[in-house]
Formats: sequence, structure tokens, C-alpha cells
Amino acid sequence: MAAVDKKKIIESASKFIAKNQFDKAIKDLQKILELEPKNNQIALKIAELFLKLDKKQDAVSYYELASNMFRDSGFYDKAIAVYRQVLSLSPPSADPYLKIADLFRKKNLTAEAVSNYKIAIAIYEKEGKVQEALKILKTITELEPSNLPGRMKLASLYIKNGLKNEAYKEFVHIAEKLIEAKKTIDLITVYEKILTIKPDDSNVSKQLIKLYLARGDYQKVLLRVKEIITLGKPDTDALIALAKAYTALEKTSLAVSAYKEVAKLYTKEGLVPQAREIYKKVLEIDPTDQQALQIVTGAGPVEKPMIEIQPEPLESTEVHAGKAPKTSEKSAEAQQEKKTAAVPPEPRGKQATEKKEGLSAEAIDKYLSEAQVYKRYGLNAKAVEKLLQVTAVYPSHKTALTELFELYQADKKSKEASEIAEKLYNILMADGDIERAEEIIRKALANDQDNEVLKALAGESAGPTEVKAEQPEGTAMSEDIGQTSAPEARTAPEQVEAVESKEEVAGQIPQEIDTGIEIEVEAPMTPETGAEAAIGPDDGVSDRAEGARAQGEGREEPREEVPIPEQIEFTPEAGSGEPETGKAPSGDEIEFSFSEEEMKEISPEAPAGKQEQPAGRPAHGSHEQGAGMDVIDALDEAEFYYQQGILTEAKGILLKILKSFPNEERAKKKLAEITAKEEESISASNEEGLTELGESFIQKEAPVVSASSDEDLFDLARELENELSTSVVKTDEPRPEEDQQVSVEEVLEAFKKGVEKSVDKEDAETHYNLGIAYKEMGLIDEAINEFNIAIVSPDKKADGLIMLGMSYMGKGLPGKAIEMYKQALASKGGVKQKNIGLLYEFALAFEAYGDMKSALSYFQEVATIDGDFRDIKDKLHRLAEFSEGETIAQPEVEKPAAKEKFTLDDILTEEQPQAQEEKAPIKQEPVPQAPVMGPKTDERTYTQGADADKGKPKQPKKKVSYI
Amino acid sequence: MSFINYSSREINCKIVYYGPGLGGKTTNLQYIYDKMSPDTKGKLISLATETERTLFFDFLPLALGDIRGFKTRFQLYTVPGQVFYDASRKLILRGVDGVVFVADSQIERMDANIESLENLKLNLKENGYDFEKIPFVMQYNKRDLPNAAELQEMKTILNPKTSPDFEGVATKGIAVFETLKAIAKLVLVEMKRSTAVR
Repeated sequence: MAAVDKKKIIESASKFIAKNQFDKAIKDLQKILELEPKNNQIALKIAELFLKLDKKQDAVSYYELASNMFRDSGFYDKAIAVYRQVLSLSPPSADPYLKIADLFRKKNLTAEAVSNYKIAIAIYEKEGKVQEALKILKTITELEPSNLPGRMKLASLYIKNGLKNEAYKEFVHIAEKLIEAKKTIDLITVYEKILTIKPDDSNVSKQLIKLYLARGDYQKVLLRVKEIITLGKPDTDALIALAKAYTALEKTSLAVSAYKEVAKLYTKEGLVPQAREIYKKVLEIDPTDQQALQIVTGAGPVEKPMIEIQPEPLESTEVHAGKAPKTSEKSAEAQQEKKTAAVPPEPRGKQATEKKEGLSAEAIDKYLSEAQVYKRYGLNAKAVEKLLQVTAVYPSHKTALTELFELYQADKKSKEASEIAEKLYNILMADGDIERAEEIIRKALANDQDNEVLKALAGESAGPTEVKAEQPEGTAMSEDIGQTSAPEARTAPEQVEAVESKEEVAGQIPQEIDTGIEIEVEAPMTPETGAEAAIGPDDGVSDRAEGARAQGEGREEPREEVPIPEQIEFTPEAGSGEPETGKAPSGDEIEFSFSEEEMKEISPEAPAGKQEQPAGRPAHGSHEQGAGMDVIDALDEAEFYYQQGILTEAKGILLKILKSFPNEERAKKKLAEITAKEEESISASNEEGLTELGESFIQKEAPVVSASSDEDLFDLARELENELSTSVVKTDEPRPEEDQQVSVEEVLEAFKKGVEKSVDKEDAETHYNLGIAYKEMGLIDEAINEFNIAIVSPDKKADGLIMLGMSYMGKGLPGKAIEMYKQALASKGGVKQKNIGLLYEFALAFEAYGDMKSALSYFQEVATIDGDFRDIKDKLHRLAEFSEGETIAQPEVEKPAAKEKFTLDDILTEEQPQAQEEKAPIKQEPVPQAPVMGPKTDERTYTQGADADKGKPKQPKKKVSYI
Repeated sequence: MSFINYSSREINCKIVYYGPGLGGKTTNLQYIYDKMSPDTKGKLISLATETERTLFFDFLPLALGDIRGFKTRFQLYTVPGQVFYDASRKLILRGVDGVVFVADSQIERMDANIESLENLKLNLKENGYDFEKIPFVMQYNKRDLPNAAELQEMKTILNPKTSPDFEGVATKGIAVFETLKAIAKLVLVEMKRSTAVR
């Protein structure tokens, strides 16, 4: 079509519009669009005309067309503005938001893109289109791999849709990132989420407990430990955490009970040194605890049994090839003694000093956590200082030593590191933690290759020897090496007492070494054990004998050695030791037995029938043993489970006891209690579908306490019950942590309600201020609402109207903006005319509205006042092109960032507008006055929102041309 | 950059008090509100959740008087400190002119301080700001507590760019106004500098 035709068509269309014959005008304009398919202004105009005809769907189609044109021409901001127009015309739909998001991506504005994607997701979620929502969420995570909240959302959606494995993977990924970023608070949330998917993830559970402890969230520690208990046997870590939590909560007796449970577990596993350490902790929180005193100091009323159970020198232990060796109670202590003999004991004075100046558990924890903090931030010297404070009191504190070692290594202080490594090595070997011990030496050697001691230790650990702590002495080592071939022999914890126990050994055991008591325990042995257990007469050989025994039983089975605590803990009258299986009681002999499970583990060959034979065992007594079962121990264990509400476990143990000892009255009594409790639980179990455990925690009645048992333990359970009953209720409430991020919409709604209640409608100033606050945040609708309230007051009417105009510009509604500016102008006490900023804003509004000539007119007026004002030169240049018939301006990407070509001084001294306003020509009505904003977010909003206006603004009395 | 409204001849500067939960941000604003004369302060909008945590944001407009005919106001905001309000924090940071970071001096809150500071940096970046350039003042709050971390350590960890910092006890008003004055000064200087450059 010829140019002439186009001009004629435009004229025709204009006439139709003037006559309100919009449908005819549309037809004309559509013809032009056929001629110029990229003419975005025509598309926009057609859309507007459809709107006038109230044909929204058609209008939307043309807006979308126009938007695509802008996008294809590189006018992303305009495209976005037009799509926003679509949003205002259509019911909520994800599609426009997705398109807007894509446009923001093209502009490399990821945050804005993500923001719009999120809205689309919310819409999809509302519509139940989960797959679509997931797809976008994945896009977000690709777009922002580090967008952890987005990933959390994705994981949550996975959960909602039953995709637990995907959710788990996502959470694990998030957790890794959070660990890297050291974001512990978020990590807690993620761990909690993981546990909702996999409650039995013990590693996460442990980590979570650590985090709770570190944050002082002791109630959650209690709750978490409870959950661990429900899932199986509590381990020492969990119980230690429990004890720490109780300590922190100043529930001393409960903390003591928890610690004692830990000690019990340790002793059962033959980890005597660890058990002893635990008792030390008990003393730290309760220095009067007799049981702990007796164990730790070797004094007090239980000292006698302690002596009794001290093993004779190992050389007297008889272990014969081909015969089950006589196992004695001596293992750990005997090892300690041997080591004591090999390594000169610490002077008593030193030990005494350490105890006297001992730090509380809290203090230790505090120092350690402070050291951690310092370490994390690279303040190694400070961290070392804190750790040394710990080791000054507890020279064998493994955690402190390990941290010290790492710090020295990191600081290249090889000498110090090697010294620590040596010490740590001995402790770890004594604990049977051979891998870590070797690793420490390896690490130390890497930085201190010429260190002979380390080399020797490395060589030693590589070989089959079993007695590390004695290595410096070197006595009888060759013989040991020659006779002990299995490496596991080294790992028996009782072989080598920890260095930390040297002091104790020195302090309490020397006189016991030569007691001459020979203890023989017929522990079931594997044939090979006996075969290798040739024992020589000297200490070293004795040591080897222990090693050999351990070897035969496996490194995890050091149970032939009954540690001191076990005796004392379970039997107040511990002196009356019962004989081990097959032996008559003897006051001089260590009572000892394996539990049924232990028996099975140690001696798989042992016939089951044999276990049921409580040879020589009395049916009653304080410390019955037999059939591989220590009744007191078993009763105690049952009691523990009972108190923790794990009735099934408790019941099982009691039934085992009764199987071996049918007349065991305490077991019968407890079993009856449990049965009664179960019945109660069943009757109460209709409440909220709580688990059996949960019910037991929530029951109000305190469990029946056996006066003859560990009362602390009962208190522990009761307290735990009380603590957790509250916690359980709390966890049922929706907690923000579990919802990860709280949406702005949610918060905003609550906030607005709060404002409604607390701010009077008449308080225009506050509403105006709030409007500014909302607008600054991009909450335009909320801002408009506040300004609308504010303008009721005459004092705020003009300012409020101007702010409304600005807000409408932000919404891409320049027509409404012009209207507001006009009202502001007309209002009493309104802004003065000829304000350069207002002229400029008015021009922007006209430009956005599509009335380029009016816009040009205002820009020219601005230029008359200040030719350098913001980007006025550029505006004039572009609109000059328009006046020559050009429709499309240059792409916005080419816009110079020259909009702020004013200075603060200019602003602050800018009195000229008022001074000049009388002189300035008024080119058309109304004389617009618009505010000028500084740049930042608002500016972008204006430019990108300047191309569409759904409203029906009153046109200036100027002839309008559409092209 | 500050919001300059030519028509009403207003300059609005947005100052956001950032920091970990329960660190004392709201207490700062409350103290300021209590001590300012009625004619210079607007209404303090401080809504709290049931657990006494900041709901969305606290807001306190302060009039600093006229600067060459422009009514200059400082709008003070706090953010909700809890981690799950990150979206809100990000939103509140839009248009920010200056940040006061209220650190909790308790040693066990060091992690939270670090985390919040990192969060601030991230959110600033996502809003198009450069943490290194934005006016920033550090307040080490709760210095009166016995478990307060050593000041030098806090400085090293939290304020490596050595922005102005203050030892505060917001509940007693210690360093509250010093902090405000410092950030106000930085914001005004920055406003002048940035507009001059352009």
C-alpha cells in the first residue's frame, strides 16, 4: 500500500475515533498493521480501542501482540509494561507472569525474573497444576543454583506430591550448601525437614542434636532424643546430648541419670576409660554423687569392691590353649596397671590439682564452642588459647586435643602438633580407635617427617603389636609382636588404658596390682582364641595375653573385663559379688557376666540351651548372673526403657529375665506394671492417634518408681515426659521453621491487618508515610491504598495525589497518573505550577500514554528551564524523530544512563522553577505538575511501565495523533 | 539513592536496621522514638507477632528539618530477623539508602550475626546494591551482657571494611543515637556524592 494510502487510513481512523466509532477505527488500523506488522504503536492503539468497546479478550490479544513486538525489537521494558497491562485485564493466570519473567531474564534481571516465576508458581499451585509448578521451580534452581529458598520450596513441593526421594535429595543438597556456607540456622530447618522424610537418618539426627545444643535449644534436644529412643536403642551420643540439655536446664539429677546411662552403655561395651570420663562429668555437676566419687576417686564405701575387682597381675591369669580362657575382671584395670608400670604415673599431686581446678561441663563446652567459633573465623591463636584452658585441666580431653592438633597443623607448628599427636595417639589407641590414631600420626608425620617418635609410632601402628602406650618403654615388645599376629588385638579398648587414665590408675590402682587375686571366668571362647593365648609371666606378656583374648573375641568384645563402674552402678551392695557363670560366689572374685546378646556375639557356637542354664545361680539376689544375663543389669535396662516409655523393649527384657529366672520377683513386678500401663495406654490411645510412646510421655501419672532402683532414672523419665509433653503439643502447631520461607503475601496481610487496627484512618501523615514505605518496596497497590486514605486530609491531599500519580506510573497506568497530577494541581494548596520536576513527570506520563506530541511539548518546556535536566536532551532527540513521523523509538537498551544529570546541589538550590514559572509559557492545558523522583527502583519502574494505560484518561485538549 | 520529591519538596532517605533475630533492632527504634520530640517524629509502626518478633517491619519516620528548602526525612525500618522471613527482608531493602547492622554481642550469637550479615550482602546484591559501597554502620549491641564476645573479635569478623561502629546497649540507649547520626551522615554524604557524579 502506498504511503498516501496509509496517511488516508490514519485520517479515517482518527475521524472514526473522534465519532466514538471505535470498531470502524479498529478496522482501519488493522489495515495499517497488515502493512506494517511490526508497528507496535498501532497494535497498542487497537488494543486500547478494543478496551473502549469492552472487548477485553481482543484487547488482550493486541496487547500481547504489541508486547511481542516490543520484545522482538529489544524493548524489553516496554514489553514488560504491556504484559503488566494484560495482567490487569485478565483473570490471574500464570502465563503473563512467565512471559514477564522471561523478559526479565533477557534483561539479566534474575531477581525480578525469579519474583515473577514465583507468582506463576503460586498460581499453578492454586490451580493444582503441580507439575507445571515443579517445572518452573526447577527453572528457578537452574537460574539461581544458590537460591536455597527456591530449592527448599522445590523440595517442599516434592513432599506435597509424595516425591519423597526427590525431596530428600534436594534437602541433602541444600544441607551441603548450608554447611559450606556455615548457615547453621537454616541447616537446622533442613535437617528437620530431612527427618520428616527419613526419621531414622541417625546421622542427620545426631547432627541436628549437635546444632540444637550449640544453639542452646535444649527443649528440642529433649524432643529429638525422645524420637531417637522411639526408633531404637539410644546411643551414647544421644544420651550425652540429653545429659547436656538437662545440665543446661539445671535439672541436675536428670543430667546425672542420663550420664550414668551413658556410663552404663560404655561399661557394657568395655569402654572403661570413657565410662570413667562420664563419671567425672557426673561429679562436675554433682560433686556429692557417691557412686561417681567411688568410681572416679577410688574412695568411699565402694572402694572395697573396687579393690576386690581389681585384677591380679595379668601374668597370673590363666589362659590355656584349647581351653576357654579364664577371663577375669581385670582387663581394663589390668591394662591400666601394666601401662602404669610401663609409663611412669603422673604424680598424685598433679592429679589432685587437676581435680581441684576442674572446669564444669558447661565451662568445657563453652571453651570448646568458643574455640570453634574462633577457629571458624581464622582466629587460631584465640582458639588455641581456649583449648589449652581445657587441656590444662583435662590433659587427655580428646576433643580439645584433636582441635589443638588440627590448629597447630594448620598453623604449621609441627613441633606442637607432633607433641599433641603423640598424646592423642596414645589416647585413641587406648580407646581402640586405631584408625583415628593412625590417621593422626600420618597427618603429623606429613608435617614433621623427621620426628623419630612419630616414625616409631607409625611403624608400630602398622604392625601387629597391641600395646601402644608402652611403646616408649619398649619392654617385652618384641615378644609381644612375635606372638600376637592379629591386628585386632591392638584394638581391644581394655588392652591399653588411655593416657588420661594414667593419673587415675596411678592414684588408685597401684596397691591393687599385687592383690594376688586370681580371677577366672569361664567366658566362652572361640578355639582360636585359646590357641593364641599363650601367656608369659611378665607384664608385657600379660598385656599380650589380654590382647590375645581380645583378638579371639574380636575388637568389639572386650566384655570379659568388668569395669569398675558396672559393679558399683548396678549394685549398691556391690561387694557381694556373684560368681560368673559356672562359678560359686566368692568375695574375692569379680562378678562378671555377659548379657545374652553378648554371649551370642562372643561365642556363636555356644548352644542356646546352655544359656538357659543358670548354673549355680541363685534365683534371687542382688546381682544374679547366669545364662549370660546379669539380672540387675537387665532389670536396670528394662527400667530405663520403661521410664522412657518404650514398653515393648522393657517387656522383652523382663521376659528374658523371667525365662532364665522364673522366680525373679522384681521382674515379675515390673512386668505387671508394664502390662497395666499398656492397658492404660490402650484406653488412652484414641487421643489424637498418638503413638504408644507419645502417650506414655503424655500420661499424667508418674511411673511407679521402684525404690530399689535408680531413682534418678525415674526422675529422668518423668521430667522428660513433662518436658516433652509440652514439646509434643508445640510441634503440632504450625511453625514457621517448618514452612521454610514465609511468603511476603502472608506477612503483608497480617501487617496490613495490624496497621488497620493500630493506625486511625484520620492519621493522614502516617498513612502517607506508609504509602511511601510500600511504594519504596514496590508494593504499589498497597501504596495506592494508603495514599488514597491520606488524601482525605486536606493537609496531605496534594502530596498524596502526586504520590498516587507516581504509583500509577509504577503500575503502567500513565492515564491515571495524569489524572492524579491534574487533581493535585486543582487541589487547594496544591503544588505550584511550572515545577520542572513535575513538568518532566507529566511529559513522561504523556510519553507513556502514547501522546508523543504532548510529551515533546512538555519535555521542551523542561529544556527551556534547564537544558541539562536529567535525560532531557535524549528525550528531545527521540521525540523529534517521532515528530517527523517515526513511530518507534530506539531500543531502551541504548538509552544512556543520563537520567540523573543533576546534582544534589542543583536539587537543593532549585528554586528557579518557582521563580520562573510566571514567565514560562504554558503550552497547553492542564499545566501538568509532576514530581520528580530520584532514580533507583522507581526510575526503572517508570520507564518500563510507561507504555500502556488501561484507564481512560482524559485527553488533553490537544489533537491526538496516534502514530 | 534517596527518594527526592520535587513537587512536595521532600527528600526521603531510607535506613534499614538489619541483623539477627532478637538482636535489638526494634529496641533501637523504640528508643529513638521515645527520645525524639513529638514534632520531629512520625508514628512508630511496630507490629509484633505472638512471639514478640517483628511482623514484617518496624517503621519510624523522622523529620530532620529543611535542607535548602527540601523537607528531609529519614525513614527508619527494621527487618524481621528470623531466617524464614528472607523474602520480606529482601523486599524491605528495596530503595535502601543506608544500613545499620545491629549485631548481637553474645558469643553464641556469632553464627547468627555472620549468617545475617551474609544474608544482607546477598539481598543487597539481589536488589542491585553493592554492600561495599552502601552506607553502612555497625552496632555491637548488648555489650553489657557477661557473655559478650570480645569487641576486637567482633570487629574482625563482622566489620572487616571498618565501617563506623559502636558498642551499644540499646535497652539503655547507649550508642543508639550515635549510630543513627553516623548512618544519617553517611547517607547524606553519599547522596550528595552520587548526585554530583551524575
